[in-house]
Amino acid sequence: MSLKKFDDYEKGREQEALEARLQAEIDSLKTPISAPHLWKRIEAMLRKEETAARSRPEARTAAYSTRPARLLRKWFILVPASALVLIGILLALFLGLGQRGTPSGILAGDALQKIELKEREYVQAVDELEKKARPKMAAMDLEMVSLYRDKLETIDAQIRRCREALASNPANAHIRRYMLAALQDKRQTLAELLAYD
Amino acid sequence: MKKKTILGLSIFAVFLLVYAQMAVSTAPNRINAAAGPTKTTQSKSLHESVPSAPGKTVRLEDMQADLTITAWDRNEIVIEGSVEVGNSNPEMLTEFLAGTKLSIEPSGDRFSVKLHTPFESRQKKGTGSLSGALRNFLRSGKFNFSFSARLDVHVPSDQSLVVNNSFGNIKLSGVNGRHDIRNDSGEVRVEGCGGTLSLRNSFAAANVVHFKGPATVDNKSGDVILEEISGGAEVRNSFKSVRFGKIGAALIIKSESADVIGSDVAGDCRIASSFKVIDVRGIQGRLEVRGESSEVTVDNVKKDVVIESSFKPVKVTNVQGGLRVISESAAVTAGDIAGEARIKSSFNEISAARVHGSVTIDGESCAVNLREIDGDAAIASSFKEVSASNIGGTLDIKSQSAKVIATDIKKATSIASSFNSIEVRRAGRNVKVEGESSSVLIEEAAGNVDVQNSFKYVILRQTSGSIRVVGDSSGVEVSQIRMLPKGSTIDIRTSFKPIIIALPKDADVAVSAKTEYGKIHSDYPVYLGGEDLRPAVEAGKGTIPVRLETSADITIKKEL
Repeated sequence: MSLKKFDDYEKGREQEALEARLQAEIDSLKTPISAPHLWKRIEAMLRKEETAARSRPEARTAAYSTRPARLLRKWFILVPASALVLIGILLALFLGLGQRGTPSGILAGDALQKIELKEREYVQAVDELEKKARPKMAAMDLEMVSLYRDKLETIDAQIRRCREALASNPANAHIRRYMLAALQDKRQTLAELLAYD
Repeated sequence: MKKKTILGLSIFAVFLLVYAQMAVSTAPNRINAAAGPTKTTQSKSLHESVPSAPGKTVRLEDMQADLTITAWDRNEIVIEGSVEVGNSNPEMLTEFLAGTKLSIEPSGDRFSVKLHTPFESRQKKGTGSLSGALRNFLRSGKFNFSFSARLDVHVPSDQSLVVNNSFGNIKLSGVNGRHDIRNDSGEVRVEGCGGTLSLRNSFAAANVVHFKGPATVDNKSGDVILEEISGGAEVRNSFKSVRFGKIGAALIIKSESADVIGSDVAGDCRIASSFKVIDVRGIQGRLEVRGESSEVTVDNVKKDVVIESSFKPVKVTNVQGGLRVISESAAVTAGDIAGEARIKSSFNEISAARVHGSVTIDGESCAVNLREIDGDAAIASSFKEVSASNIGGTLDIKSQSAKVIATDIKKATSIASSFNSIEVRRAGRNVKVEGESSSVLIEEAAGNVDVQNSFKYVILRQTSGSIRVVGDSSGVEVSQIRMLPKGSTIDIRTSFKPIIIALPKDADVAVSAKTEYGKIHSDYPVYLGGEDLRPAVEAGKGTIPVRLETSADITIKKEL
């Protein structure tokens, strides 16, 4: 016998042994019941049970009576999990914010552009109010004219001071804040003047 | 819920906790906040220290920074801080920061803190640590460099401070010395300090709290808050409010168009403002208020009060001294004044009650209401009702076209008015009334009654002294005379209107009555007399002369 044939022979014997074992396993399994219409019967039974359950309130109650226990079990798991998630989010946010440290005194590009836009809006509003205020001031009594003129001159001086400071320090947040405050003050004063009776 | 979902949530929670933990463990960094596309910022930490001693002066001048100056128990000045700069060129930023230095320069008993930046050297030529590019760039003036600084300064607790800053906030705490703080466009807070304070600021709030010593605050267009200043305080500001409490000595406030509100001043207090509310309470010394177009409220002042105001109400209560109000077109209310009250106003009501001294009112077109005045009361007014009751002294009313009601006047009463009624009830002494076209009613006058009026009725009841009525077309009615003492007289003359008089039945009177065109009805015997034989009465030879004259009817009754 050649080596190849011997190998083939050995392999064949191993295969037969494997098949015999497999068959023995199969034989040890329970023989399934012969039931040609089994699924149909199961379906019919289920439908019958469902109809019966609907027609019996106590059955419904009985069915629900198991829910609290299930819910309770769910909540015992759900609540701590949610709390954990929430704590995690809050911590991350809080520390993430804190991570930024002292707020910057310099306005970054976008923030600076927004502030400049806001300033331009205020300047425009102030210009429009000033046009309306001029004839009103001319008609007011001297005391009130003097008061408002004083106040507006004071605010204008502050606006000039802020502009001078911004010329050499354009993105300084503090100066921008005070510039905006002065413009707001001017707008409010002009509005008051126009509302004066 | 499925187990997988719960597991997923738990893993997510753990992830977040880990992230949070990493955030905690990471030390705060110098910022390289990548800004927007056009701006980068860089910052640099600053630290300097130098030994000091009590009684020295620290100067921080020409600053543009947020300054926090705190006292500590070490004889050392330590400054920590940071400078942040922004520009589109990171290299220039680095170079700029390299040229930025903090120094504390001692000189005698002073220390000068300086923050040197390349901005100072932009005008200088020559070499330096700055590259030519940066120098040229700064000199060009066309740059968008931005700069922000913050300094935390720790100093010995007994140290004087001279600060000159702008566009930054200043906070000073626990330091005692002679402090001179100048700021512009930034909040200033001085807390728990002592010594002397001169603070000048503008366009932001200035707060001085728990200061042991005198304080002067000058804050243009900025709020001022003073709380627990053990020395005196002086404030100048405008357009923003002043609030104060617990000032240990005199207080002076000169403001403009600002609310001034406060209490508890241990000394004299002088306040000037305009167009807003002035509300001052609890002053141990003298109070002076000047409030043009200001609503003024004053309560609980231990000495005199003087108020000048206009156009807005004035209310004063609980003054241990005298009160003087000079106002214009303002309602004035005064109550519980221990001394004398003098009030002048116009076109609004003047009301004074429970004044232990005398009261003088000058109220053009003012309704006047006086109650419970212990001393004399003198009123000059017009066109509005005058009411005076429970006057312990004399009452003198000079009015015009005003209704007058006077009741319970202990001493002499003198009233002049016109075109409105005059009523006097329960006058303790003589009553004199001049009422042009005014009806006059006098009841229960204990003294003599003297009435001059025209065109309206005069009604006198329960008089106890002489009666004199000179009327012009005035009807006169006299009844229920309580008493006609010895030496008293009754002299009633009028025209065109009747006289009706009821004399006490036992009165020892000598009556003469004369009428031009009327009739005489008398309970007394009538004798014709007079040159033209007109009806007249001359009855009795009593000691009390009763003279009645009119051109209308005369009725003389004998009261039973």
